[in-house]
Amino acid sequence: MADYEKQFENFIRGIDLDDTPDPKHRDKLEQNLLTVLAKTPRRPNPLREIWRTIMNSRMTKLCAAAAVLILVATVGWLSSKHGSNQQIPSFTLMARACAAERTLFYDIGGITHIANEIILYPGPERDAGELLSDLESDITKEKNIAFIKSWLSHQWLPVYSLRADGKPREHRLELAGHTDEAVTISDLAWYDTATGRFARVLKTGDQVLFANAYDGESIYLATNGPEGRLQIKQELVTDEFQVPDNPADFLGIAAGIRGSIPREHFPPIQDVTTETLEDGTQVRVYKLGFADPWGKVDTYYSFKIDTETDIIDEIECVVDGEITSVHRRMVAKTVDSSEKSWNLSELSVAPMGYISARIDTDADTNIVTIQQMSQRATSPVYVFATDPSWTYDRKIYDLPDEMSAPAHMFAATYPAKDGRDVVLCQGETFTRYFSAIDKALELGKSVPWTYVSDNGFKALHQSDKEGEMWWTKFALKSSGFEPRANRVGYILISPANTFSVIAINGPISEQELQELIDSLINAKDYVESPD
Amino acid sequence: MDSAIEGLENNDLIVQARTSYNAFASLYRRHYDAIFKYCAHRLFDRHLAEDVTSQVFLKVVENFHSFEGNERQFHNWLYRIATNTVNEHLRRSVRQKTALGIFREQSNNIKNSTFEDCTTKLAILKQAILSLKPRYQTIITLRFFENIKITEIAEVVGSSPSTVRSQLGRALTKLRKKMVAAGITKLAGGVDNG
Repeated sequence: MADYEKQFENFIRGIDLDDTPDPKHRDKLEQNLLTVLAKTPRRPNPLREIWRTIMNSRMTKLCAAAAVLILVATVGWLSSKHGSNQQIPSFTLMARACAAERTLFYDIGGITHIANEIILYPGPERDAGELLSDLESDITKEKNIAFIKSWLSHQWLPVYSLRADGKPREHRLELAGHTDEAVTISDLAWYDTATGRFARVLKTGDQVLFANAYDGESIYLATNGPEGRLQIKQELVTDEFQVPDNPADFLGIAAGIRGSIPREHFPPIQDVTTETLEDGTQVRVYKLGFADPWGKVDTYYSFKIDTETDIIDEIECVVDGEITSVHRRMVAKTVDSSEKSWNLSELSVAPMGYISARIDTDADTNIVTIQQMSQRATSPVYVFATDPSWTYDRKIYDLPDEMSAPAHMFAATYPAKDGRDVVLCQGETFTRYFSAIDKALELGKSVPWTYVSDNGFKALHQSDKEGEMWWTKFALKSSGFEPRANRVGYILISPANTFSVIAINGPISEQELQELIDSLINAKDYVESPD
Repeated sequence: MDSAIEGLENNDLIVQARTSYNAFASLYRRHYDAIFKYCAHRLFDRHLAEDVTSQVFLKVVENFHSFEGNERQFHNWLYRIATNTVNEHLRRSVRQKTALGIFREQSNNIKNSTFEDCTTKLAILKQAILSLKPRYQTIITLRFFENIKITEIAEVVGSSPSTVRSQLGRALTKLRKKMVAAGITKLAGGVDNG
């Protein structure tokens, strides 16, 4: 512990705080709570045990899922007028680069050693939750922009390991220093082409931050454990274990990025230039990202790919115009098998220091029923009593609403046969954000309501003016739909003064809109009488 | 109270609390003191802390059906709700500004007094902590007042341990500057009047 921490601890010990609980308050509150509890309907859920099993690490899964969605939306905004170049789809480009990288392992033969360098740069100090609170107290255009950008940004680098059952596991590597300076990490990998044995170690100086290895019998995983100490776990591989055919899929420079973004959400290529590296290598530089709500592409990946071999030499991650990480190839060579041990238990278990690789389970999404949504919601949530006639296969996603925990965020998605996909998003953060906007703009006065329904909803059409439709792209893109230029969006205020948004991926007639809004019903009422 | 319930392990108690009022009451009593103290340490006012603690547990009652997890996760969930409720209170209450103004005045008035005076130290500490941004207040309070480990704080605030460690460092640096500005130049082995 740092000196000042100890000093501060001592200082606090010397202060007499009035923090003794009053038993009278405790008992009175207990009675109140039990009264409230008695009035709260019990919600027996036969699926509870199943859910408990499935959602063993629900929050981490959802956080990972949300992070992927946020990454997609980061960027959110695919805009053809900002130099999008879709002649080579970005996912194909990545697949081609990974295929080319396979040759690095197999052409060299024997035991291949690959050394890369990762540089992590410090990110912004403030998080989206604080910015939202700030926005609620006093909204300005600058605060609004800062909040949206923070909401849509991510600050970690995905790293993959192999589990004992052969499945990949995603980890996040992020800067955690007490310093504001960048940190360089060595990313070292060894792969035996004959047996599939491998080892990967991330180090800063002599300090190991993360490692994953397979010695022919066991999988080893070394990550930061409690109190920042290195923790090594050994597991015998299961019957289904198989080393992936292409080591580039889990050891390669692009493995994390390729594995963490679903194919349909891969950001498009915005720009291609050429460059000569210091060693004379000619590279093509691909900029993969989406335009932000204001039309700028300032959050993106920059891939430098060797023009001759198609192998990736460098990946740069830029968030909100600031470089957050660089992953650069340094060495690829064959080494003597006697030099290498695959058993990670030989690593020294030293304190981890400034940097850590945080484990998160595989990204997954959490689909819920209307009943589950109504049970989990902390404020009124709504559904269409009748699904839009042009849509099919409704799904409701339950996402963590970290900024307003314990609240949840829900996105109901309705793919459409005619392409006019519908997404209805609701949650306390939406309500907080749009309430702040409402406070400043007085929605309905500055701009008249588009429609006021008999069931108490007020709808406001969002114009196509640049920057105002960012959330429709966010909602559609995050739900796996490709936003179309003629999409429309509406902000809704419910009878309970909660805010939600509807994005429709195409034009909608006045009658269709009115039918849609007229059919909105509180999810609790829907559950009680679904017909 | 049912002695069988009182003897339950926390994990079992959480399961029981879903269907038994007695078990819920027992669960509440096991956590009341910790949550009240956390609120008191964040707000520096026992009456406000009681109000906010009430709100926290009301939210718990309203949302307990949707909680899925073990004892540790419940503990972290409680602190997360408490953190959000305290932050919400600070955001909405003009009292914070008033309180800050009062503490500043107190601080200015006492710069020449002895720092052995506990009231003085408390006033300076309040002023310094309440002027930090809410996230830093949360981390400082959880770490130093509630003695919660970094890994658990990380779960409460939804960050990685490394990020929390980093933010704790920044928060302490800011706190130190503010306390030095208020006249406290040395904390170890007592307090000096700068």
